Amino acid sequence: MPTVIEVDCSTGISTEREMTAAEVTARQEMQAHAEARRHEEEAAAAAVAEAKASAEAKLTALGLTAEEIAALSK
Amino acid sequence: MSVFLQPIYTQTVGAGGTTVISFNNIPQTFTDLQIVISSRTNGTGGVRLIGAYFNGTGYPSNASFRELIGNGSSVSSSGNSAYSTFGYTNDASQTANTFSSHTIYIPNYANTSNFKQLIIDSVSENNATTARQYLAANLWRYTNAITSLQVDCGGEVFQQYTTFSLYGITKG
Repeated sequence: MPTVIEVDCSTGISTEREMTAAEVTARQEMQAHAEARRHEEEAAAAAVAEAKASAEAKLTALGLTAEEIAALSK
Repeated sequence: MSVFLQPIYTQTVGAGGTTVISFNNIPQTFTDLQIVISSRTNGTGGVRLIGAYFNGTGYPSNASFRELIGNGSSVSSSGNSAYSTFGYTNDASQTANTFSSHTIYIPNYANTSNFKQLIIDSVSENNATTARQYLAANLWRYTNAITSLQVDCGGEVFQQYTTFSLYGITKG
């Protein structure tokens, strides 16, 4: 069961309890947001990798060697 | 100018971990608040965000942020009209025993006339190519004074030795 650590700043007392329904909902919202962010990053990285592979293939077709292609990005 | 930083409370997570930390009854006597987090979760994705909300209301609809993210190989920026985060937490996919660091500054948190601003600076730690630095400005379009703060890690569990420290800053 998810738990919450509650700190009462007025007394300095810290207690641990199970989450309420509202807190579970908030947690699920955060989880969905984090997953969406993760998918966005993975999609962006995949798009960059795909574009790079496509560019390298076109350069190879033009007659560049692998060393010459690598030198372009240094 | 703010010249005095006073510790309000520091909570260290124990062996069982926890999913949410809630600071309640935050004193209304300071000018600004600062939250410092050292975090590690049990996730494996390496891109989990720490989220936060105030006064136990759940994630706000009247909030927006603008963020700048560096991940070790590229830089990106984005904005959103409904969410606020405290940056990327370290998790189990990153180097053992490392924790991400987060500093959040909230000016005029007890004021009941102004919307609440958050300035966020965080960095994850990893002995690998990918580690994230996160800078963000958040605006919570609520005039309520901040009396409590809840911090969540989106479906994961904050691990042992994660710490949350709350400070009050008094203007000079």
